[in-house]
Amino acid sequence: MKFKLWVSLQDILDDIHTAVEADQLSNSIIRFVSTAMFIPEEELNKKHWMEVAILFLTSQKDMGLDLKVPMFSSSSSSSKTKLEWDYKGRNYYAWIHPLCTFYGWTLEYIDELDHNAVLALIQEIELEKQFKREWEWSLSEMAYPYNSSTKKSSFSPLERPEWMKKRYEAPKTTRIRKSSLPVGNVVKLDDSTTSG
Amino acid sequence: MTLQQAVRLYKFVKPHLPENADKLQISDYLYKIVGSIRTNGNTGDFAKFFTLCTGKKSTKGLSSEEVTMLLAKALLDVNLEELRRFLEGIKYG
Repeated sequence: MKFKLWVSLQDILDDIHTAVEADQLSNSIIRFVSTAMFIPEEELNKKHWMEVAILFLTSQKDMGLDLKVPMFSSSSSSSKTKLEWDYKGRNYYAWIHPLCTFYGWTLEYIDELDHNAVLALIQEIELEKQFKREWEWSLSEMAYPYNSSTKKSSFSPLERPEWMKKRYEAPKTTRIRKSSLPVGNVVKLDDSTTSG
Repeated sequence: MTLQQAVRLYKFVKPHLPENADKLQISDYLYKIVGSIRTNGNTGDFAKFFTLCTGKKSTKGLSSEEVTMLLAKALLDVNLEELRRFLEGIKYG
């Protein structure tokens, strides 16, 4: 999917998720399907709701990411509070700004790119920025706070964003051969029975 | 029923939807919704429900059987439980 189309659909999805009124919701869903599948809104307005719902779910699935880019699949919830400098349509410019700055690409060029490629490149830009910040941090005095109890300064690394941190993984269950298990009487403390 | 009509109807009827809908026949399903609108709703809510379901302005000139038939037809057409699953899936309501 082309990036420009993907961003437009993201904006409409935001409208769908924040819709309160029934008409607001149905109009946004119709607009989403119309934009994604190039079907005129008038035509969708005449269809049974179930047909529109199926088209909506299909097109929503199509705009998913083929690449599992950690920056955009992080489970941490981002607050959707409206900022003072926000305006309708800012989303698009916020997405392409790092690409324009970093690679010097034009809007038209970025619009034609695949959305997966754009998101992967944005993550690479953010990674490079973070590593640069970490390097600069390691050179500053603030990175080595003095510990009065040990009378030494130790390195305190710059905190990384949530998506760069190692994710918790449940410990794997490993099977142990019976011959490797301890032999002898096993005392079960819960019911005070012994077996061996 | 179009998406706009269906969402309008769902929003209105949501507090009156029976919980064990899967086990109910359409007549009992309708009976429970209407019963809840009559007991928990405001004056004029039934007329509003009828309009949202059928698109007709009022039940004037229709027998109770005709009203029931029109409502049952509309409920079968809209499939409120499927609509509920869809709208809950997109976190509406």
